Amino acid sequence: MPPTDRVGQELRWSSVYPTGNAASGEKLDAAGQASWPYASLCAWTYLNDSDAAHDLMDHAIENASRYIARHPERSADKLTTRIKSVIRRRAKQLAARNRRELSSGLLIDLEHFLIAQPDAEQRAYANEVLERLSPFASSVLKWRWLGYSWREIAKHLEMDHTAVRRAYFREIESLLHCPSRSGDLPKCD
Amino acid sequence: MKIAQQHEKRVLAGDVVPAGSCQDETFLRMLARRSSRIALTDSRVDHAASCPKCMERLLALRQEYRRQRRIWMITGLIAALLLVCVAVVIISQHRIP
Repeated sequence: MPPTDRVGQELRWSSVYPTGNAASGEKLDAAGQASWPYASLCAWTYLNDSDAAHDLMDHAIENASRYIARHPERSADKLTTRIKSVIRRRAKQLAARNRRELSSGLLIDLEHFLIAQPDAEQRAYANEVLERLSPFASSVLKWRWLGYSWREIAKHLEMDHTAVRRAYFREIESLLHCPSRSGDLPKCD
Repeated sequence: MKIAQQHEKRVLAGDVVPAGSCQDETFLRMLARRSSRIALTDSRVDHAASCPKCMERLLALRQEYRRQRRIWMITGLIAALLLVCVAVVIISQHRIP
């Protein structure tokens, strides 16, 4: 179903992303309408989130509005193909990003946090996080620093390497989101 | 490896109290090479990864091994290229009637 505004009227894509040309606007609307079911399908298939269809569509229409402004002679069919292609590419990108975030997004969080802070604060924060690691995570961190692979560590722990990695990153994640969780400091919910 | 780097910084700054005594050179060399003879549960491994002195030595040894490995690789590559050249020369000589 195409997106609607608060009063239930159907939104026109060209009103959100004006092309500066009525004919181009019509083409954009037609292509947008034709691509909407595909956006829903991609949102569900790649991201398992039907609401993401709106974001995918926004991204694709913005791209298409720039494209039709540059090439006003292009047909609505051509525009539909382009929109679908952009939707699929964007959905794949987001899905890949989500997958990475599951295993290592927290490292990126930590990096961003550390980049934004002066040295002394960085050290204090890193100390706080690393001090709160469990003996398991602390050992894994030391082994990783020594250069042992996840597989070698997992073999030693008699576990699956993905399980070890996931458990390690999950702990780091919980500490990053809630550094004062344990001990005598106030607890997070 | 940002977290591991933070761990390294922390240890080198003396913020971690290592358990046990410092290890000898032989053990650190084996550890730098990640020898399979060392068990990960060995308490000496834990010490080496938390003692600033041992860590500094480990970092130096790692660099040394990396350099050695690079030299070996370059030597191997040159030897392989020479072998190929010799083989090409021999084959081309045999083909000439």
